[in-house]
Amino acid sequence: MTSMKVIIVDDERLARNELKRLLSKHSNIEIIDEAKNADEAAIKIKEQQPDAIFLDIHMPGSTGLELAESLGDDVNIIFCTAYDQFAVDAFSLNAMDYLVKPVNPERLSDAIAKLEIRLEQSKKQTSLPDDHKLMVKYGETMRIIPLSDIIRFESIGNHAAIYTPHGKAFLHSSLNKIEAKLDANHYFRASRSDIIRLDAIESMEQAISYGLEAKLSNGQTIEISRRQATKLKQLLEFTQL
Amino acid sequence: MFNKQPDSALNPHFIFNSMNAIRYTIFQDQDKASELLSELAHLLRYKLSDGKIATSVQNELSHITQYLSLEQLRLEERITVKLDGMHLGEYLKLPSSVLLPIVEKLLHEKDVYSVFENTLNLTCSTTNSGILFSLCLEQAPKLKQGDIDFSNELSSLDGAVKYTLKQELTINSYKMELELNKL
Repeated sequence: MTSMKVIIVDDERLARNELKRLLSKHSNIEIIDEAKNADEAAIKIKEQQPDAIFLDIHMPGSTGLELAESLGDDVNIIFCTAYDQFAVDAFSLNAMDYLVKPVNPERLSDAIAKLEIRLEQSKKQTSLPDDHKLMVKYGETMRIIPLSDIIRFESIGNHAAIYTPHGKAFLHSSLNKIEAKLDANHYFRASRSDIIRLDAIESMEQAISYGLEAKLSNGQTIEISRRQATKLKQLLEFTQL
Repeated sequence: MFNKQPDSALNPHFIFNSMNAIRYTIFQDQDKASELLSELAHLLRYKLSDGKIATSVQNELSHITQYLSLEQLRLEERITVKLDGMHLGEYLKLPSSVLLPIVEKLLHEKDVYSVFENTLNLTCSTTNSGILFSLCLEQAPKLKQGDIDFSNELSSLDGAVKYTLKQELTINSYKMELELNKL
């Protein structure tokens, strides 16, 4: 089961907490952040690129509808508001769903299922095949390599370092954008700063932080966060077959 | 009851947002949630009889206190409410709910939900022959300008209670004074 990263946008703390409480029952949802107004949300969405946002409409400053309009199709939006008077406007902005507060847990489950299907479909459409060719610059030399040559992506500011048999190079892209293009059968998000190729893992050990330490085929040791280690174990369980 | 006009019914945003906040409070503080649910129930019951029963200034003030306590639950640090003289007005009868709809309309018209800082002072004091009910709302960064038309809310007082209304606006504050006197 793929984890879906979401941000909650609501001006009321209790409303955010209530939604967090309801979402905590969904193991496939990871709340990566929250925002109490549209301006704060716009920055966090740009930085963290969630799979979806749960968005209130009536907030101080810009409204949720204005934020949705500015985001366009960049992120899936599930409106979550007290009353259905804005539903028509919301759906005209291509909202994925519209929930009314207090949120009915079954409606929330439906919205999450819909989100999962949409993300799976877009992943199928966008994930690159293993033999996809990439032009990569190593110092002054340009090389064309297959995607499968990359055994690790490391986040460095707004860039990503890649590790290949030819050495280290850089891509002008964020780790979240890269992850969205990768096939989850071959690559795994080890932590906020690393994506690793699954068949490049030679061995793993328990880490002091209760996560895992993975030794890669190029000799590097990468820490897998506690949360991601649990997911990796689930992913590689025999019962998944 | 679910009419969108706040002068004739509780605003649906208020009802559903309050329910949502109370539902979360159930998991944090059951006693508090129970108290808030009673307050919401009292308000809804009061509103269901809106316009049908006579009331008193004191009864109205008690419902305003419940209403504002629910608004504070949701808006937290974004609204500061100061109340004074809320025990007054037991003997001044009103033909129907008037003061609560006035407070609701003020919050709605000045859109406290879209403003980062609101301070509401509600004062009730006795005069020679009645009660002076005053509301002062300060907003930051700025106040939504314009007087508020309370003619609908006050119409039920005609022929029952003598009243005078004054409204005053500055860049950051709105003030209204309603003097109610027995006929």
